Amino acid sequence: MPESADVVIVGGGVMGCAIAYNLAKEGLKPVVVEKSDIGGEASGSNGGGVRQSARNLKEMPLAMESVRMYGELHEELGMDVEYVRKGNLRLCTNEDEFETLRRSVENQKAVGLDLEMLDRKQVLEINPYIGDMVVGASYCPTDGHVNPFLVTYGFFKRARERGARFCTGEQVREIRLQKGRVTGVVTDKRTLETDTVINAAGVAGREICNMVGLDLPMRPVFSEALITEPYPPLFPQMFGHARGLFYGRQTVHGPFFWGGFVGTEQYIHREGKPLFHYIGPAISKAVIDYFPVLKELHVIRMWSGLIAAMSDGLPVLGFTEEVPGFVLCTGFSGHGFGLAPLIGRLISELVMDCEVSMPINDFCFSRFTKGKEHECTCSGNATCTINTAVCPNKRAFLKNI
Amino acid sequence: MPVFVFVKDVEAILREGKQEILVPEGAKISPAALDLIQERGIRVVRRGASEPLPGQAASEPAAETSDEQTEATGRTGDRDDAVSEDELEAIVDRVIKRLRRIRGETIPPAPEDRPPADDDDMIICRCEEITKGEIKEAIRNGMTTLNGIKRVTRAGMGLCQGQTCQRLVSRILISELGLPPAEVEPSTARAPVRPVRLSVFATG
Repeated sequence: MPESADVVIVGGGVMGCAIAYNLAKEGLKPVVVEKSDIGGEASGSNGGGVRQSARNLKEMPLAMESVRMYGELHEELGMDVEYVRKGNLRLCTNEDEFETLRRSVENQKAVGLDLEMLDRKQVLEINPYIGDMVVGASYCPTDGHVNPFLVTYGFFKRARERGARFCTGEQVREIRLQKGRVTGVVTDKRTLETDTVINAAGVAGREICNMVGLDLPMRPVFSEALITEPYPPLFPQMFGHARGLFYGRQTVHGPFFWGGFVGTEQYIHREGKPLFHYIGPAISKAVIDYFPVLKELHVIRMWSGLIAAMSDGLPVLGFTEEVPGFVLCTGFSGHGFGLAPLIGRLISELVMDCEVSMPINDFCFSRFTKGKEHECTCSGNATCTINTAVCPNKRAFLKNI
Repeated sequence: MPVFVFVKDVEAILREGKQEILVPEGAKISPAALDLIQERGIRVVRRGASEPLPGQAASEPAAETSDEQTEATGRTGDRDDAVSEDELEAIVDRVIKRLRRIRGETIPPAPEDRPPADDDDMIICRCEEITKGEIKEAIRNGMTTLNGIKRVTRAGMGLCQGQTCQRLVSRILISELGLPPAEVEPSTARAPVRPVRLSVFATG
């Protein structure tokens, strides 16, 4: 006996939980299918950065709105999510990096972001612990960091209270189509009848897309991170390297979180999430170089995760022309956590009203099918541009069929 | 001998149509099962526990407050094998109070707005100072795996990496959800097993 659901969300990470929360708030009863655990994959292994600086300019309006929403998140979720808005320093170690960063800072300033370039002396005023190799940095005072587990948990808890259902430990096997339209989801434990499926599966998003006959230029990129023993509060800022090779922060509880890349991650892939013997030491070396004061601290835990890296580094959001009822919300390429509260709201708006309050057409799936020159004018609701009279994705319409 | 009484045990009793459940000495009742027991008005019979306790209560010193005394004499009056959950709690409470007085401790007022779980303040994860109550809350909010509890409460994220508390957390999980212990997956083991200094680790 198949069960039915208003919406099935594939993936119980922060995106899936945020979408479920927003849909449940609107009165729907979404079902979230998660193959491992709530926040068990990338949402449980990322650095928790909430930043606007060094984002693609197309993402900038979303990032700025999301930062505003993070400020109110503890009210909305009714719990502390350890959000700290004390700035982000992107560190440069040589003149080339400084020059490249300065140019991108100019561009970011032009779209309205409040950030500035600092020389070494100014950086030391903000953080006196920075090592000798840093020659300068960009500083965005409104960036910050958050506890990623608690944000995911908060959305999950609230969504459950409002009637969303979560099926954990369940894997989607098949997405049923009828006349090209989504009609159901088959998992290894049940069959769910639905007319809307949201693909928020992160790194498994490509696999889920393949189930409806679409493909995404996405691949998993391996990433490792480590955490040290707790230490009294030293600095509240989030750090990044100008070319994104190294990032980290001190968490609210005291331990220092550091992640980094050695450059070979793109070329290695193994089943599961192994640790490689050379990445941890490389991150440790970077920590000592950038923050010599920490060199006597102990590493207590290391872990790895997979980044859903898109070919152009941008997420793919919204309905697709090809498969009515199939919504994409994946491929955040390692910088999606900071967007989560907003994306949850936007995808829910899209499903409810077929309209979004902020343009997301830069992230439309059609950018891969129609070539670079194609300027998408839809607002995430791809099929509406073809059939404007009656949008086949409108929920009211779907219900009347 | 079963150590825990689970929901399924209570359900088995209900299916048989009995109105009392036999709990061996030292066994614990899972909170979910306790709720069910109270809801259905089932009598809890503690095997072996009822004998020494009334005697202990009777030997209370004369300085005891009067209501405790009447309770104590009342208990010695009907020597029944059956001790209800409420009576048992009253007895345990009295013994604890007395022990505290002997050790010269002041008795903190009992919180009244909480369900009767005296050990909710007990610290389970010593590194991160996470209490049993916090872990139980996470489980009741839907975290059903050790990894999930670890992420939400931080139990097992400290210096010892859960080497002390993981078994305790898994026991709480087992009793809260009424799971067979074999079904609880251990949380993911993380390298390095012992803390390693950054300056040492950096040398590869």
